[in-house]
Amino acid sequence: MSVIRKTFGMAGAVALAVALAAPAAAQLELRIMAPAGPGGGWDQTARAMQAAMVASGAAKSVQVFNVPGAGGTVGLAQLINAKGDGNQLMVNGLVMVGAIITNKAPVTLDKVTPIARLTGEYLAIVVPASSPIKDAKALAAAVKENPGKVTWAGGSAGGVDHIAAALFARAAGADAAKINYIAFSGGGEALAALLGAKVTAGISGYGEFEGQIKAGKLRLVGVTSPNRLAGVDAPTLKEQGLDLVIANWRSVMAGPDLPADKKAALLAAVEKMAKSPAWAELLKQKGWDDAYLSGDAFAAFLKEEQARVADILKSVGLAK
Amino acid sequence: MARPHDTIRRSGGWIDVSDLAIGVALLALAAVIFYDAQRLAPGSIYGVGPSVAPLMIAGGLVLLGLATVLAAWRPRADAAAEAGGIDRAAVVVIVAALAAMIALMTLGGGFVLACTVLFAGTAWAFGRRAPAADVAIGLALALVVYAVFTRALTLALPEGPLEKYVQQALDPLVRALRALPWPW
Amino acid sequence: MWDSLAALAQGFAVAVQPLNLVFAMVGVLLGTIVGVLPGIGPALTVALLLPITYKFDPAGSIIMFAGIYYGGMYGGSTTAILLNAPGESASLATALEGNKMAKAGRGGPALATAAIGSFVAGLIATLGIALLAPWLVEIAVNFGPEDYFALMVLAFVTVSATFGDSPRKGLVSLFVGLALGLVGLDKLSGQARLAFGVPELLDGIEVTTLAVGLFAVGEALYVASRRRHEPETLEAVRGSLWMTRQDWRRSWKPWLRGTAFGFPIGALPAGGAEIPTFLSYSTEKRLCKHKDEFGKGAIEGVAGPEAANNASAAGTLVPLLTLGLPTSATAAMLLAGFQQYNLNPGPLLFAEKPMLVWGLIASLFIANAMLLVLNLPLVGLWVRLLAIKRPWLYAGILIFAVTGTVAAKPSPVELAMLALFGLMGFVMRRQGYPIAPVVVGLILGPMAETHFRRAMQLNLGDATVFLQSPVSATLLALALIALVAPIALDGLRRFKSAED
Repeated sequence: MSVIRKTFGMAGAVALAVALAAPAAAQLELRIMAPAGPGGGWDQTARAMQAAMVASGAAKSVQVFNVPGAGGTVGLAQLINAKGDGNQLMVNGLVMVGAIITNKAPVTLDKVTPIARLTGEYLAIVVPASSPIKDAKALAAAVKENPGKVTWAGGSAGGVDHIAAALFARAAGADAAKINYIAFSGGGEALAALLGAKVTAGISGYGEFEGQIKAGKLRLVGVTSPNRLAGVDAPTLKEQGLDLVIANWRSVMAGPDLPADKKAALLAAVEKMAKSPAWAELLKQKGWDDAYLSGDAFAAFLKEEQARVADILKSVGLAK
Repeated sequence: MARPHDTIRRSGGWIDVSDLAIGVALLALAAVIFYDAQRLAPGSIYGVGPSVAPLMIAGGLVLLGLATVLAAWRPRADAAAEAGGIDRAAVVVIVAALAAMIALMTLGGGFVLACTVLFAGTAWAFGRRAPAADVAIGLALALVVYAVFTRALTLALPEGPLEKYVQQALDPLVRALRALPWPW
Repeated sequence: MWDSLAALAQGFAVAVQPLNLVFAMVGVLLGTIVGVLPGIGPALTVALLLPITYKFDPAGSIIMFAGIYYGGMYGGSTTAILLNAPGESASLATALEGNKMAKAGRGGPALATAAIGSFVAGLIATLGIALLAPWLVEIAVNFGPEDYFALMVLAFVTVSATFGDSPRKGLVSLFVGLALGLVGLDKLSGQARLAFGVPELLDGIEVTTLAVGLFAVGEALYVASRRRHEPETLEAVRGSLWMTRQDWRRSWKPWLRGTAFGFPIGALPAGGAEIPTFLSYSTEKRLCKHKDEFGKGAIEGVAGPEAANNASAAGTLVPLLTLGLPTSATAAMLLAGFQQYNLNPGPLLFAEKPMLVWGLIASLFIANAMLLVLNLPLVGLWVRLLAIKRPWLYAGILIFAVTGTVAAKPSPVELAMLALFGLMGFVMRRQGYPIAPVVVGLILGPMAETHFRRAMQLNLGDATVFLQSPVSATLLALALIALVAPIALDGLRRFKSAED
């Protein structure tokens, strides 16, 4: 009997404990929007920020809310309404830059206030272990010879993986419009197609492939980082003569027309969080790379990415 | 035999107006899909484009729409049994309650108020005539749901004026619970 | 193989320690409570409750995790049976007969056969993982898009089981579902179809919004319109609250057949839980000696799909544990749970950390057993829900439907769709159109299209691939037989009776 009572008591306590976070400080009462459903990458980033901001005292309280839909553009449209609101943030990333273009979204990132880039993940290009292709040079040659015969497995159409595959074809001297890219939903399905050698090559975040590469089931032919990655035994594409550097980054932005003092407060709060041990611990736990870049430097980076993505999406026929 | 509900007398049988309307609606749906498929770009240059499936489905809908229109003309002895005795007012009240709920939810009335209205409206449609009691029950139910979703599960629900009070009332409770010595 | 069994036995030794049993129990309880809530399927249940498990040691937390997972799944079935509001696409088939049973005062046996069926399926599937995983996964990764497409064709053939007595009306419902499935971004080309510039529509129509709208809201409208013809309250229990001897006799074969569909298809990376539940439902309908009861609450129609659902969930562990492929939303959450302990599922996991893997499999099993222990006594309580006065019951169901929609996607467009689908469900009920094929069309249509086009793209537009792949050719032949056989048999029977 006592066990049962204890258990039930515990069940109630545990359920409530979910809502209880660590002690609070600072004065910002933030609301962070994850423009996607609960559980996904943006949602996880928002909730990690919530934990790290409260733990580091960067904000007094943080509430996360989800506005899913259309690659985040539904949430973006909502952020546009938060004019001058110094307490609202939205998580987003490279995926949204692409989605705005392919979905012909009525609102763009030009109106909102970029705060900081937080994380980034470089992409890896792999081939099945049984493939005759040994390195990125050979893959590039195959793409150049007959782009249709090289089938690519990756994430959603117009997403980061698709953009990277198109950029690869361009770097290889082939017509990006002719790539044979097959969109899969979720990492599992694309990975299965690669393990079954149904496709020529796969492209996705390095983490997706790590286990299979280490087990020798997939061959890593190159990574899209500027320099070799620590602990990864593969040359960059750049080393192999292909001019392609791209990372799937995630960032945080605020509403339009933000007064300077409010913007400074947000920048300071995010900086405090990004430099805190709690954030470092979370990054390690989730396997995300730190890519902190804030304020004007980030705004400039964003402009470059927008131009590059718009250009490549046009060439694969996903934008006009 | 009494004339079945929603039918028109014709020589040799009845025309079921509802079935006729469904048939026409299916043809209209097919037309919309057909129109939409026309403007799609071919997509990848390999394999099958994105407009093939819509065209096939539109084709199927055309055939089914025609079949349904024809079926509406058939002599239908069974129509009498099913039709009649429909409480239209009840349906209208529920639909109105749903519309009010959507309006309240999106125009800042908040989750609790919207659900209360929906609850009381539905109970009315089902023949209850005790609005005060039903509003009270609906309010209590909505408050419990709101507290569980937003506090225990940290999922956001639309907020209105009522929710602000609820949060203020719940905050001390949450703080007190937080202060307790948890084993973890 | 014996090594696997020995390791599994060791895993059990860890999992049955008293404290771990308590963890399993807490997990199941929390999972059921949260899983019953509207709009929260098993994956979200796990996502929401995952942080709690972080507080314990790895063994305890994995066991609690397993409990949450099973509790969440069972919670979804409970609402499908009692409220006709399937919380996820996999419990759609359960709602078809389960809710009819509940309305007829047989909610108790329906919930019981669901729980016991899940347990039986879990037991067999766990053994399946231990014995067959390495072999099964080899087949699974070689399943190409053409083979998936053939599997979809087979599933499509079985849809007619949900048609009712008019093939035309069934097809109309199916095609409306297929048309709804077109809405949103086309997966392969990234272009918007039938979205009319509404951003909320770009992601397509949510299966749960359609199902809950058609089933729950539509029914509330229909019952309200006919309330003068029906009694004020439902009878929550008529006959036995428990499964009778006859119920057992009618359930055990569907459990086994459901498992046989669920486990292998669940193990396929793109297999999912929907197809096995549909296949199971139509098989049971075809084989059932009480065919007339189908559509009115046949216990086989709950027992089979529920077993299939649970077995397919266990099946998704095969690619997850052997290859590290998360092939469902819940499997992705499991993966997140593993990573918490620096455990990376993948080809090396079985070799590197066998104890933890088998411990997990054992805990899933223990959690499944715990689910049975906890929930069977609660059946009586759940069923009482239906004894609530009709006005309050349906008002409550509407609140439930709205909360689920708003929690998952807080947007006016989504709520408007819920209301619209409710009206559609009302009209369809009045005019005698079956509801289920709409939802089936929405689920299967986009899947079939995607796999077909992927296969064509991989083979540069050569359609002969569907006949060249042995798996695909076999499945297509089966589909053809399933389509033609009933007609032929029927003709033969008529021919015979005409001769007599």
